[in-house]
Amino acid sequence: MQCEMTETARAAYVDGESSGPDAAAFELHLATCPVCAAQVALLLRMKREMRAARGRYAAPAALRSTIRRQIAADTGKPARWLWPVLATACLVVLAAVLTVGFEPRQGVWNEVADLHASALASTNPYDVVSSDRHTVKPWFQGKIPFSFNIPELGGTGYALLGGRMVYLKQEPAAQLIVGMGQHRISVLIVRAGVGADPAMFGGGHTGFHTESWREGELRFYVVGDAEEDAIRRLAELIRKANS
Amino acid sequence: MEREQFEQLTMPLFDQLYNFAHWLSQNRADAEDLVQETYAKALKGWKSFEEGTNLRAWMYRILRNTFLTSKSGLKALATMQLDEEEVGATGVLTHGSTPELLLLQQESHDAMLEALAGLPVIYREVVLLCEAEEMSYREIAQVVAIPVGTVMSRLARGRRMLREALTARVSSGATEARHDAV
Ligand SMILES: [Zn+2]
Repeated sequence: MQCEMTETARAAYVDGESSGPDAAAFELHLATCPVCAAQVALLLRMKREMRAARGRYAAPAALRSTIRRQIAADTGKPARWLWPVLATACLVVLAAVLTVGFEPRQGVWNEVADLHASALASTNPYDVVSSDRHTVKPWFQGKIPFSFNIPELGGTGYALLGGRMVYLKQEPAAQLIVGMGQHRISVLIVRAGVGADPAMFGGGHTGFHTESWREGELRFYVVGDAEEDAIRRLAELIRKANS
Repeated sequence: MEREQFEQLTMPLFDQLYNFAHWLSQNRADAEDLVQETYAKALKGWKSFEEGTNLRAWMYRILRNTFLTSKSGLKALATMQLDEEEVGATGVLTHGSTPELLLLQQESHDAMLEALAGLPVIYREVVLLCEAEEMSYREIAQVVAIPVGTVMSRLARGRRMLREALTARVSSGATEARHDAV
C-alpha cells in the first residue's frame, strides 16, 4: 500500500491546522487510505497520552508568592486613578488571547473518544452505578438540561453498568457505560448542535468503532472497542427507545 | 499601576509556565529560577510589550530564551547533535503501521512522558508547546522564533523520535520477557 501524503500533512490535520477545504479533502482521502488511517490513529493516540504533560509539574506555592512580592517590590508609579480603566481594557485583550489560545482544536469526536477512554481508565468511572435503567435515567434529571430514554437491555447481550455526568464541548452531557462481555461501550447524549456536528467522516480516526445520529433535539454518540456490529446493534436499540 | 496590571495579566500563566520550565530544565530548582527570572525580565520589558499581541507567546518566549542561554540550557544544546536535519519530514511512508499502533497501545502515559523528557531540547519544546500547551503552529513559531515550516518539520521529527523511542522500548521489553521465559 502506497500513500503520497506527507507526514506534515497528516500532522497538520491532527493538530487542527488544516484549513477547511484541506481538512475536508484529507478526510476524504483518509476514508480510503489504510496507511493514513493508521498514522492518524497513532498521532491521535500520542496526542492523548501527551496531554498528561500539561499538568505534570505543580508549581510550589512559595514560588508564586515570591514572584508576587517581586512584582510588587519595585517602586510603583502613582496614577492609580487610571489603573482600573486600563486593567479592564487589558483583561479584555488577555481574555481574547487566552480564549483563542486555549480553544480546543480537536473535533467533537476526539472529545467523545477522550471521554470514553477516561471512563475506561478510571477505576470508578460512574456517578451512578446501576444496571437498572429506572434508576439510571432519573438520576440524570436536573443534572442535564434534557431527558432521554434507556432501552431495556435484558437478554440483548448488553448490560447497563452505570452513568455519569460529563461535559462535551463545554455542554452538560450524559454518558452511559454499557458492558458487552469484556468490552465497554460509551453512549454519550448531548443537545444537538453542540460543537460542530460530526461531518461525513465519522469517528473512525479515533481508533474506536463509532456511531452517531441525531434524534430531534438530541445527538447520540456510541463509541467503544467492541466489534463494529456490536456498536451498531446497541446504537439501534438506543435509537428505537428514543424515536 | 504598571505592576498591578502586569501581575493581573501574567500571573494566570504562572502554573503553565512553571510546568513548561520544569519540562525544559528537568529539575525543580532550575525550573524555579527560570520562572522567577522570566517574570523579572518580563516586568522589565513590560513597556515594550505591545498590547494586542500575544502575551502568552511573549512570556513563553522569554522563558525558553532564558533557559537556552542558561548554563543547563547551553549544556542541553551542546549534547545535542547539531547535524539534526530539519527537512526530511516529507518522507513517503510505504507501510501500514498498525503493528506499531498496537505496540504503543501497550505503553503507559509514563512511558510516553519519559520518552518526551528524553527528546533533544529543540524537539521537546515544540512537541510540548503543541501537545501540552495546545498552541497553534503560528504561536509556536512566535515563541521559538522560527518559521512555521520549521515548526512543522521539528514537530514531525520530534514525533518520529518519540515513536522510535517507544518502539525500541517495547521491543527490548519483549526480548527480556522472552529471555525470562527460557
Ligand atoms: Zn494516505
